[in-house]
Amino acid sequence: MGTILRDLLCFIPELTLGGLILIFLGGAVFLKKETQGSVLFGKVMFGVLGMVGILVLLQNLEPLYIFNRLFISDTYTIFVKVLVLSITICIYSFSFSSLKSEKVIGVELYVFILMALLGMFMVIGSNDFLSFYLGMELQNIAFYVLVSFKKDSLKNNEAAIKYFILGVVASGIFLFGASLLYGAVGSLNFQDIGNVLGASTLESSSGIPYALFGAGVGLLFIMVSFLFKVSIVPFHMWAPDVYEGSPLPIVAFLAFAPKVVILSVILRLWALLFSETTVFVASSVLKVFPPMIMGASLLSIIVGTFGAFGQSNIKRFLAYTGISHMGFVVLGISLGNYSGMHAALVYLLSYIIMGIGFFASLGALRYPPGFSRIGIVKDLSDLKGLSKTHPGMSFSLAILMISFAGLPPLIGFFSKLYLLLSLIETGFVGIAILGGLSSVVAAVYYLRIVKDLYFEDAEVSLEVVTPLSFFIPLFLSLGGTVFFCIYAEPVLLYVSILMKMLLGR
Amino acid sequence: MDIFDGFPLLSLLIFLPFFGAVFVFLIPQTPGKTEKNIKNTALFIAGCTFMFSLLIWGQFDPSLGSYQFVENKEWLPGLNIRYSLGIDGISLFFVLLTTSLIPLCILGSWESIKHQQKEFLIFLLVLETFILGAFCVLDLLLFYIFFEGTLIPMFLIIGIWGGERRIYAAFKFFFYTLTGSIFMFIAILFLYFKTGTTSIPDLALYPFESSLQVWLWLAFFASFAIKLPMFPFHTWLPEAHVEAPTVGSMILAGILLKMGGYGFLRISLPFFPEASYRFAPYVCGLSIIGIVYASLVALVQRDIKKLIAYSSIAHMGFVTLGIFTFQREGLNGSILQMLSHGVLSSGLFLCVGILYERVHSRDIEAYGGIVSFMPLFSVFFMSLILGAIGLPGTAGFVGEFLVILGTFQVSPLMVVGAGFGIILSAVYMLGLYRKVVFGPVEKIRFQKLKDLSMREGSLLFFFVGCMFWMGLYPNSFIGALHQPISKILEYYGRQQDALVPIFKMKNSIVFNEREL
Amino acid sequence: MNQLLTIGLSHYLCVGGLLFIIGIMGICLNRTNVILMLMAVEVILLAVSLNFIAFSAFLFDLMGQVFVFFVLTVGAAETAIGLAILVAFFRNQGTVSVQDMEKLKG
Repeated sequence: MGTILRDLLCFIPELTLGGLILIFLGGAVFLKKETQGSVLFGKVMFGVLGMVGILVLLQNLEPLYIFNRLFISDTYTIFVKVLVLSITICIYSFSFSSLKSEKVIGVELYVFILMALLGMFMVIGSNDFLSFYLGMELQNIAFYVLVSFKKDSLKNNEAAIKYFILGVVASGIFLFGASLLYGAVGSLNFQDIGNVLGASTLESSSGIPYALFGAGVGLLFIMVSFLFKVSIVPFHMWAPDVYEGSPLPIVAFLAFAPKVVILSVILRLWALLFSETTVFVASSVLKVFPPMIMGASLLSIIVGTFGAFGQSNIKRFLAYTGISHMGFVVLGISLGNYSGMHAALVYLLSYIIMGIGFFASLGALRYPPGFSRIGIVKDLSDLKGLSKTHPGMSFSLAILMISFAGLPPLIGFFSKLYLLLSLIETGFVGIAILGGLSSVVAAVYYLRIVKDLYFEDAEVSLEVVTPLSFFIPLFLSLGGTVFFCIYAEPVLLYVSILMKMLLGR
Repeated sequence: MDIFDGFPLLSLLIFLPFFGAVFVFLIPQTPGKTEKNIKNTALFIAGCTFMFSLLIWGQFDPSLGSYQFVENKEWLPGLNIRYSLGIDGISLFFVLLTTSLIPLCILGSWESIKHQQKEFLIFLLVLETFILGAFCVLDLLLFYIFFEGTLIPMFLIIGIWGGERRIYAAFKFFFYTLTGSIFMFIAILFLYFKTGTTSIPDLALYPFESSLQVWLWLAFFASFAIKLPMFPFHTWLPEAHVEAPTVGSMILAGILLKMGGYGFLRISLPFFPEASYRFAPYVCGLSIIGIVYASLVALVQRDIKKLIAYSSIAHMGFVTLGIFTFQREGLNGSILQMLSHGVLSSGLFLCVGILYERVHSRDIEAYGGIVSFMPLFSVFFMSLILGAIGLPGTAGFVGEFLVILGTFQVSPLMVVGAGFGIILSAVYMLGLYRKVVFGPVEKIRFQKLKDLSMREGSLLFFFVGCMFWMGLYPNSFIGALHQPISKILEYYGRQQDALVPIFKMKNSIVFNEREL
Repeated sequence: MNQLLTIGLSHYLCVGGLLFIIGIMGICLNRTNVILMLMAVEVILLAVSLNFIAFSAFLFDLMGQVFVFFVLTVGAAETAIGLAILVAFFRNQGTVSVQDMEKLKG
């Protein structure tokens, strides 16, 4: 009885979220007018998200296994949960008003955002492929609905169908892999899998023939489905289409939160399978993975970099740059050692910091009334000459672009610094040079945006909407981007503590 | 020195312009009076920085061999990369060059920048911070950050306020430099991985294996040679100069190019003596080719700015030539050449800018007979041109003479090439002057030309004064350079005999160090 | 001979694998109808369930069967969402053909 109570206490944030979802659903029934309700709920959401954040922060930092080792709660999960929650709050705070301009609003929206959040919390805390699967699907279903929210638009319908089909296939592949892994290992618990595979005692522990091979294939399938979710080449093709077809705030949500969640699980699994202590004794099947993942991440750096070249649509552009940045993150993870994973997490954090600012500033730019297009800015060429009408906004966009390009002294530079350093430390000087050169190529199109902002004359004079909710995320992001070089110590130290903890050192 | 012990003088110097930029940014922009306020504020800040650097010069002790005003603080946790600053004689003069040129640039841009003045001044001040940082840091990674940081403001200055093909020029400038720097970046990371530190003084003592030195040297060379620029990597420079606004050209030629030469002196030579020694003949050969080639190209230019840009390439050829002789005279000469070129070329670009504001053409053919309308201008222009040719008594002479002296001890053959370059420089520079200033007055509209305004006159007076000061009393610089150059030459001491070939004249005229 | 005729684990796995491949092929090669894709997804889930049950029986472990229950419910929910999206698409487009999805390219 005592343990159940303890487990429930550890699960309070998730339970609260679940309860709130039910309350929102119930409340929606009793509201008279839909618009009135959505405004009310929209404001309540801030309080709700803040409360969940406080609950998460109150959690015990000691590692605890909950519900028969289905879930885990430790510093790492709390860190990732806070991260995802802050992403959600930032994106929600600027999407709240822009969703209205995209004509996507309704009480259900908030329910699905909370549902996605609940799913993501479950994934982050999962310590077993069963709980992982359930959280994953909860999150996925919420995202399917969010992506297809603008149901009058054909583009949006198409994006939703593509996202749905590929998402379902990815979970199918995941399930098949999980089933094989289950057969080979006899359990789907992360620790068990890590122990069995890492110690390469597979043949003796379960009597199944070809168990090692089965486990390898199963893990391969699971990895493939992960790469699907993080949009790594060759499983990236959904990202540009889905991004283009969905409303910008939803894209912002989609571009960060689920990827962070999946990457956090990959990091945990990777630490169990390939931490430096076990990588040398890893069984032959496991040894195949790091080079394979590294190859895929290199490919996605290249494809993302060159794919972004010809794009005129902002969201497609973001999708391709996202592919290349995710490639860098996964490249760090694939090294499988402390410095690589540390660099990957730093890179991910910096990508989130810059990306949120970029999305927030894009969300604030609207076509003027009477123009042939309406709503949030859609094409990169529409940004031309922004510096003449809105110097502040174009200045912040330029800073973010320069940081994306990885130029010093902004945060993008430091994340690349750590990553390239870890590559060189592990002995991949050639790949480091390749990464460096690809960031030079990427700088071309980031600077092309700076050029559009500053060197060209305006074709359309965009409007900037100025509620505070846009500027708080933007200022936070700009602050992080600019001042990281001066005072990065707490972040870096915290990340290194987390990684050491994950790797058991 | 005493009262400033422990006081972060250098940090203050570096970040003063940056805070100034923030302050300028915060001045609300309304048309009318504020533009003047902004300009005055920026000028005041740049002037303060200059005064500050003079103070540092006053406190500087040239007899000390070590770095001075050292600051050393924890910076990136987990990595042994520290925020460390310090200057020696070499960096001191580049700092002074920077701090003195920036106020002049602000004054030079007083009227010529018509739109977005606020942004312009912000970029200029931020640029100053980065340049000063690059000259003051004692940590390789910090050096890279400041070195690269200069790219963005310069890119924007060329791109926003440049000429017709400014976008092409800005991108070319940017990507040439960035591509070179990426190799340097990887090399820095590799150095860090190999030695566990990025401290410049520590790395200078680290004995690298010769095979490794070759690769690392090449990586650094890629960056510095493009920045300087050396002969085969120079193509970005004429474009950038032609399209940049006057002030952009002044900074580019006056200071930014010097970061390449500074990099050679601070990093390539002390870190990789064997590799430097090994590649020296090629570098010297390239320098000679560069001098002659750039001079020949300058001869046929019709665009005044392009002509001066090519003459810059030729002058930079002397710099690399002097550095890679590994002689005291050569090193002294190349540093002085950089300083004098910093003054001369920015002065010349300012002259071109003054002409352009009046005539709106950079084509040499469009000019003629200026002297009748702008006598004062013609005098200043003449002095600067004579300096660029290297007439004795001007700054240009000291640098070129010392470089040739140093080269002579290594190979008289190379002196022939360099001398040929000097003769050619006289041909194209005097040709330029003749065509622009003298000749018949064919264009009626020239009669409306006004001579220099007070502002322009005092600016040019300052340049000419500096030039003569450097030319007539170079010892005020050479004295402080003695210690750092001895330190660089220490690494080459044991190779000296092997380095100087059989041509070496036993009793050649050597500037005696004690006299200087 | 006797061994071949006894239905063992490998037989189940073969069937599961075959079903999985059929499902994947159904999604990859299908160019006509989105509904068929949904059905192919169901086939994949079927393959997975079969695998889990077979392993569960073989390992004397209940975990696999529990997993299958979850897979079935989640699969049903997913299909419902998918059909809803499809209905929205059908309302705007008038068909559910895969070839008609061409608005997003580049």
